[in-house]
Parts: sequence; structure tokens; C-alpha cells
Amino acid sequence: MWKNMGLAAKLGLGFGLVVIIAIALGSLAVVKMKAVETDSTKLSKEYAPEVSIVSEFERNVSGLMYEVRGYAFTEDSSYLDKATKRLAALKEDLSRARKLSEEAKNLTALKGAVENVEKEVQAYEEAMNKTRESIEAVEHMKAEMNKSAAEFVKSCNIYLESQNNKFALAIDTESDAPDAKKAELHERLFKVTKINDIIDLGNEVRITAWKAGASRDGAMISEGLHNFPKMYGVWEELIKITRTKEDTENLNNVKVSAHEYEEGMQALAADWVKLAELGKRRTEIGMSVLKGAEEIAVAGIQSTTKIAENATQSLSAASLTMIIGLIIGTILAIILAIFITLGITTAISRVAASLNEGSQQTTSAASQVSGSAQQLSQGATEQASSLEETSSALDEMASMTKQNADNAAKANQMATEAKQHAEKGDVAMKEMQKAMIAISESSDKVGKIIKTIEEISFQTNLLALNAAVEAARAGEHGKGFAVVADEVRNLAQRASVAAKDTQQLIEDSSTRTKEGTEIAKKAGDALVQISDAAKKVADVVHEIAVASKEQAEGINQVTHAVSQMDQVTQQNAASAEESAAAAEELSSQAENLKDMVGELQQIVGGSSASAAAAFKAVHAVEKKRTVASAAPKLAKAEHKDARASSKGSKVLKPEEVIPLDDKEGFKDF
Amino acid sequence: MAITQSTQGNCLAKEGKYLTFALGKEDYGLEILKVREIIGMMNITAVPQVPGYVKGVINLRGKVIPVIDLRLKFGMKEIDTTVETCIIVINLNEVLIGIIIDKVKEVLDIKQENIEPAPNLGSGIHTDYILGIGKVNETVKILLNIEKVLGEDLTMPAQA
Repeated sequence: MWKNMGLAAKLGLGFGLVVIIAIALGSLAVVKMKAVETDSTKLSKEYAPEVSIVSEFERNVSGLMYEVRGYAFTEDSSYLDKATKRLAALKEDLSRARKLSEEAKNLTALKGAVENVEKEVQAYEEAMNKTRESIEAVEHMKAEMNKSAAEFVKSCNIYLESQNNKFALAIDTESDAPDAKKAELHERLFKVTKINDIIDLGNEVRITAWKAGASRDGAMISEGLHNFPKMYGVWEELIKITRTKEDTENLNNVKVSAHEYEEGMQALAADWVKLAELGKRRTEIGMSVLKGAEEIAVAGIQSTTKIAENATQSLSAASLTMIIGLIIGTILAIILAIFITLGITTAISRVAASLNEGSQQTTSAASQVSGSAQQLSQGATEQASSLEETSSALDEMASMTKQNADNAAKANQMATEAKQHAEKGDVAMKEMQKAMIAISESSDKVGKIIKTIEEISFQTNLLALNAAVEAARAGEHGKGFAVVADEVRNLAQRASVAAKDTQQLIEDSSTRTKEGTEIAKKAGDALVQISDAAKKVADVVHEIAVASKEQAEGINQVTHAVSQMDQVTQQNAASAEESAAAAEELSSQAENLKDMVGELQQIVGGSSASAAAAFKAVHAVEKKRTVASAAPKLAKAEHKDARASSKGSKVLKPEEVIPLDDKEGFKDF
Repeated sequence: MAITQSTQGNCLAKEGKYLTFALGKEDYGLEILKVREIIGMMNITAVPQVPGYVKGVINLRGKVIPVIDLRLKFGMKEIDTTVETCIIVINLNEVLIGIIIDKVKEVLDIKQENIEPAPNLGSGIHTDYILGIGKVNETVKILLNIEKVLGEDLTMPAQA
């Protein structure tokens, strides 16, 4: 079976097998790679973004917590700004995570987690807002307190200064004053001392408040608050002894300020407690958020690891399969290569030997072709000259046909004229018939007149006879009368004879007229027939004219065709010369072919010696086959092929040059 | 009767003028003195109970005269009248009688030497109504004895 297969089949089978192996291996690899690619895509599109988002989220949560804590401790608004930014980033992360969870198919855990975390973040945000409100309240409170403190200090100082002034005045003006005055002075001193006590107590309270503010200790504020009743006690003592209206007002102011400050401190303490609680809650929420994020991150990383492991497994399996496939494919390819090479080499050696022989035959055939091509060229030239003669003959024919057509047209005209003349003749004949009839009628009239004359002559004759009878009776006397009567009778006789002759003549003329009428009628009929015949002649001549015209057209077409044929023949002659040249070329090419066959045998054999051996061997086989009368067939076949190829390539078919589909054109012709 | 006798006495015809006429193919002659006049054919009023050759009577200028067809009298075939058919009125002793003949010819003057007696054609044939045979220019004219011809008929008016 292998030996019977053609070269193309062998090559096809071999390469096909290799290609099939390559396709199988490639598709296996592609399938594996696709699986890995899917996993990788999952990894890159879903898990990696998940982990990245979650880690970023975690970072943001930590940052947010840090910033908020800082804000809560320091009450610095720059921390709050940072915290707001962090929160925005966090929300963005969350929205990204949500989007990812919606897009990704495999991240089911993320979806739930995102919702939970979103809720928690919202709770955190609320807590944060509350913190901010609290801090703002604290700030406000502090400002109020400061204001109260300022008022307190101011009022105290005014009071003190007034007491001091008054005291100094008292001392300066009335150093030698009575005891009453001295008592007054003592009282004033007491007042100064008391207001100083109040100031000291206020300062202590403020210091306590500041301390508490610094340490964030509500208890410390409570301690501070203990100083207020003391302060109020001192104030009561002082108000009792104060009499000046201004001083009383100042003292009232001091009390009011102290009250306000006390209230502020109480509120501050409450706010701090609240803040502490909020901070605790915030931390809890933050931790829970962090925990959720961490869980997601851990899950993402676990999935990533799993997928990576799977990919590694698939890749290793694929590489193993590929290696095995490659080994098998290579072995198969080597075996096929050996077989195909052997098959091709043997076949080509055989073919080369045949080619060698074939080229020799081609040389001889080429010389034959050359000879016949020259003959063909000569023949084509002769054909061209005869075609020219034909063309000129056709031209003459065309002119003659044209003349024919012209003559036919003239004949047509003449026939028409003849017809017209015949019709005129017919009319004339009819008129003549009428004239004849008129003649006949007048003849009849003349006949009647003649008859009358005859009668008269007869009567005259009778009279003459009677006269003669009378004369005879008269005897001798009537002799002269008898002579006269005789003369009269003679005259009557002559008149009668003349009348008879005339009668005869008229009868003759009448009969002749009748004959003439008959003849005229016949002539008229003949003229009508002539007219008809002339018409027919005109028709026929017209047909002839038309036919001549068409003939002329046909001859023109033929002339055209002949001129085209002439061109073709000249082309033929040229092609024949070309083919003669080509035949010589072919002969030299055959020589070249021989050399090339030698080279081919060398190539096939590998070395000259082996080539010669192979050639000889093949030749021997070929000779045997020649004996078996296979060679002539081959030669013939080659000859045929050569001719076919030359026909196909060089010789133009006449149908291609002249459009021989003039059947329609010649049909009319 | 006297006339008949006198005619019989002059058996041979005399020379003199004769009126010739044609009857059939033959020409006949009449003594001109026996002729009263010649008239053309005219209407004849037929008369009953007369022999066939008596055609009838005519009115000639007030005179009624009988007319005899000479062809029938001579036993010849009757023919239609032609333009030439005439009636010769004959005067026999002042008795007028018309005879119908084919054609009037002429008045001939026949000499004695040209007159021959009627041929003797045998005993059975009566030739007494022929006066003689006149020869004129190679032709013969039968000269009639009209009295004999019309003998029987002449008696009729006389008897009547």
C-alpha cells in the first residue's frame, strides 16, 4: 500500500500525521493554558483586586481610627479633616468592593461582608459625627467658661482696685482719723482680703478645670466644683459689708460669672463622660470593621493561594503531557521522514531517467515542430495573399451588388412608370370604346338616313316607272316624256345603288367599329393586366432592391470578417514563425533539460558515482520497460502534452480573434 | 270574252314596251298598256271566302280593287313583304286588279326579233298564259298573258 501511494499522498500523509500530532499537543496545551488563564483571570480580576481593596480598606480604617482618636484627644480640627478624607477613601473602597462583588462571580463572601461592613462604617460615621458634636460643644463650653472667668476676674479686679483706691485715699487723707475711721479702714482691708480670697478660689477652680481638661478627668472637675460653695460663702460675707452701689454691682457680676463658670464646668464634665463613652464605642465599631476586613482579606488570600496551586498543578501536568507528546511526535516524524525520503528519492530517480529519455525525444520532436511551423508559416502567408484576393473580389462583388441595387431601384421606377402608362392606356382605351360606341350610334343614324334615301329612291323609281307607263299610254306624244321618265328612273336607280353602297359601307364600318370596340376592350383588359403585372414587377424589383441592399450589407460583413481573417492569418504566420523559433528554443532547452536531469540524478543519488549507478539501474529498468512497449506510449504522451501546452499557450484560437457568433448577422443575410 | 279571244288570236307577243318585274328568281314582263300604275305595298284588307291567293282589297284613291298574290297564283312559296314588294295595278277592260310581285324592274322596249313563242313543254302542261319569251342581254323575260293568268278572277268582278 505504501508503495502504491503517490508522492503527494505520501508527503501529505507524513506531514498530516506530524500536523495532527502538533495540533493534538497544541490543543492540549491550549486547553490547559486556558484553564490556567481562567484561574489567573479570576485571580487578577477578582481575588487580587479584592485583597488589594480590602487591605486598602483596612489601612484606611486604621488611619480613620487613628485620626478620630487624635481629634478626640486633641480637639484639633486638622485631625478631623484628615479623618473626613479617610472616611471618603473608605467609602470609595467600599463602593469599589461593592462593584467588584457585583461583577465577580466567585466572590460570594465579599458581597455579604461588604453589606455588613457598610452598616458598621455608617455606625462609625454616626459615632464620629457625634464625637465631633460633643467636641464642638466642649469647645463652646470652654469658650463660655473662659468668658465667664474673664468677667469674674475683671469684676474682682475692679472691686479690688476700687477698695484699694478707697483704702489708699482713706490712709492718705485721714491718717490721723478717729477710730471710726480706723474701723472703716479695717473693714476695707477685710473686703480686700475677702475679694482676694474669691480671686484665689476662682483661680484654683480654673486651674483645676485646666488640669482636668489636660488630663481628661471628670473627677477632677468635681473636685474643682467643691471650691464654689466656699467662694459663695466669702461672697455672702462681702456683700453684707459692701454699701457702694458700684461695688455691689461688681460683686453681683462676680457671682453671676462664677455661676456661669460652675455650670460650664458641670457641662464639660458631662461632655467628657460622653466623649469617653463615644470613643469606646468608636473603637469597638472600628475593631469590628477591621475584623471583617481582615476576614475578607484572609479569605481572598486563601482563594488566591488555592488558585495559584491549581495553576501550578495544571501547568506541570501540561508540561508533562507536552514532553511525552513531543517525544512520540518526534519519533513518528523521524520514521515518516525516512519513509517519505526513500519513496521520493526512488521515484525521482525513476522520473529523472524517464526525463533523460524524454528530453532526447523532445529534441527530435522540436526539430519536427520547427519544420512544420515553417510550413505553417508559408501556408499562412499563402492564405493571407488568397485572403487579400478574396477581399478584393468581395469588394468588386459589393460594388456589383450596389449597382444591382441601383439598377433594381431604377427598374422599380421604370416599372412604376410602366404601370402609370398602362393605366393611362387603359383610360385612353375606355375613352376610345366610348368614341367607338359614339361612332356606332352615328352609323346607325346614317343607316336610318340611308334608308330614307333608299325609300325616296324607291318611290322615285316607282314614280319614274309610272311616268313611263303613262308615257307609253300617251303613245307617240309621250315619247319625250318616256325618255325623261327613263332618266329619272336611272337617277333613282343610281341613288338607290349609291344608298345601298353607302349602307354597305356603313354596315362594314359598324361591324368594324364593333370589332374595334371588342379589341379595345381586350386591349383595355390587357392594359389592366399590364398594369397589374407592372405592379407585381415593381414589387418584385423592390424586393430585389431590398435583397440587394441586404446582400451588400452581408458582403460588407463578409469583407469585414475576411479582413479580420486576414489579420488572424498574418498573426498566424507570425505565430508560426515564433513557434519555429520556439521549437529551436525547445530543442536547446531539451539539451539543458538533459544536463539538469544529470544534476537531478546527482542530487538524488548524493554522489556522482552513486548517481551514475542509480541512473544506470533505472535506465536498465526503463529499457526493460521500453521493450515492454511502454516507452512509445510515454513519448507519445509527452508529444501530446507538448502540443497541448503549445496550443494552450501560444496559438490563438480563431474563435477568440474573430467573433464567429455572427450567426445572427448572417441569418438575415 | 272578246278580249280573250283577241289575245288568243294574237298568239305571239308583239314588239313594244314591257314592264318587267321579278318573282322569285325569274323576271317576267307585262304589256305596258295593260298596266294602270305601280304602287308600293300598302295595307290590304282581307276578304272572307276567297281563294288563298286573293289577299284582299285595297283602297286606291277611292277605288276598291282586289289584290292577288302572284306567287301563290303561280304555286310558289309565299314570302314576307320587303321594301321592294310592290303592287302593280292592272287595267283589263277598265277592270282594275292588283298583283303583288317581289320587285319592279324596268320598262323595256323589246324588238320582235327578240321575242320567241312559249316553248312546247308537252301536252300536259298549259303554257297559254305565256305570250312569249323575251331575250334581253343574255337574260330571258317571261312575257305574261295577264288576261289568261287572271282569267278566272276577272270573271268574278264581272259576274259580281
